[in-house]
Amino acid sequence: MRTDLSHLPPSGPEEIRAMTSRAGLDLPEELMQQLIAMWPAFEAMVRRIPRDCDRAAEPAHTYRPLRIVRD
Amino acid sequence: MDHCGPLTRSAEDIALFLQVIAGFDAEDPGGEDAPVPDYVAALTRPITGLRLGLIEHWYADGAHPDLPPAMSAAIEVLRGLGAIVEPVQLSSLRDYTDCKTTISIAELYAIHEKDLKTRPQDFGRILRNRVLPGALIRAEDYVQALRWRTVLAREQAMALKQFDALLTAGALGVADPADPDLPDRLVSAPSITMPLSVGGLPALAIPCGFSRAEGLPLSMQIAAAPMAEPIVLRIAHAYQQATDWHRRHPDLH
Repeated sequence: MRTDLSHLPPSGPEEIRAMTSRAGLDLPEELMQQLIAMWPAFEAMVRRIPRDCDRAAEPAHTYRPLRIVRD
Repeated sequence: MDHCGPLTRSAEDIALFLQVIAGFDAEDPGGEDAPVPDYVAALTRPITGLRLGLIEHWYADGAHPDLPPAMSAAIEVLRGLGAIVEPVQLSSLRDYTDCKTTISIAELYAIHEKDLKTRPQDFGRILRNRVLPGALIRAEDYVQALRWRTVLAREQAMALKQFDALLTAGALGVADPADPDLPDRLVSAPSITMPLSVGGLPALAIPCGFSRAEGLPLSMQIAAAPMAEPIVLRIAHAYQQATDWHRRHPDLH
């Protein structure tokens, strides 16, 4: 059984404005309206991501210190 | 996570091109310090006996109506050349698109953050609207997407233990008109080129037919294990020796 966050309601315009502000963005209103229109489709993708991947899938395992040392 | 590589008229030209540009570059953090194979020599080997896994479920629904028959005809050509083509089931196109998009937009936003904060109006509409949502991705979403990428990449690696290469469509439709006001297809339909970027596999798209209504090319995608470009090119070249789709041009007038 896959776990994800797709049961959550989509963010409303005011929530999107607040998230955008917290990210340090001060967009012109026209661009803000475009982001408000686009975000729900991206939010749906993000919320479908399973949250129960095995710890062996940890991205830190892909860090390659030898590459850094060699450079 | 995107694929980059030569865009040419034929697989043979790609082999020639790749022979020149391939190789380790210490200035490229994504590069592999691996020997460069003889791509051109690989073209001469037959594909008899190669086992090809067909990911048909990625294009079975929602694709251009001319695509499944074009793919079926292409598979028959490959079988006629001696390849063994069998179906393989991977996670859905939607799963791969969700994973890849989440990672990509977060990383793209990080790359372009300074410019998006200071001059967002200088970006084209489609690119800006793909990148700006990356500002709203939470750290835990990004990490979970990276974890999922590992799971999905392992799934592809397992399939490549059974098969020498994977086949699927190269696009679900035909090329869009060059109109910057068109809606962005990324958010309306899954992408069939994203999955092989998730796995980091070498992939190649070649024409395998033309749509009847638009008269535009349809394509087949071939992928193999990391660093197995010679097998990809060998299959594509064998197909192009038996067909002439790559020599046809759409009538654009």
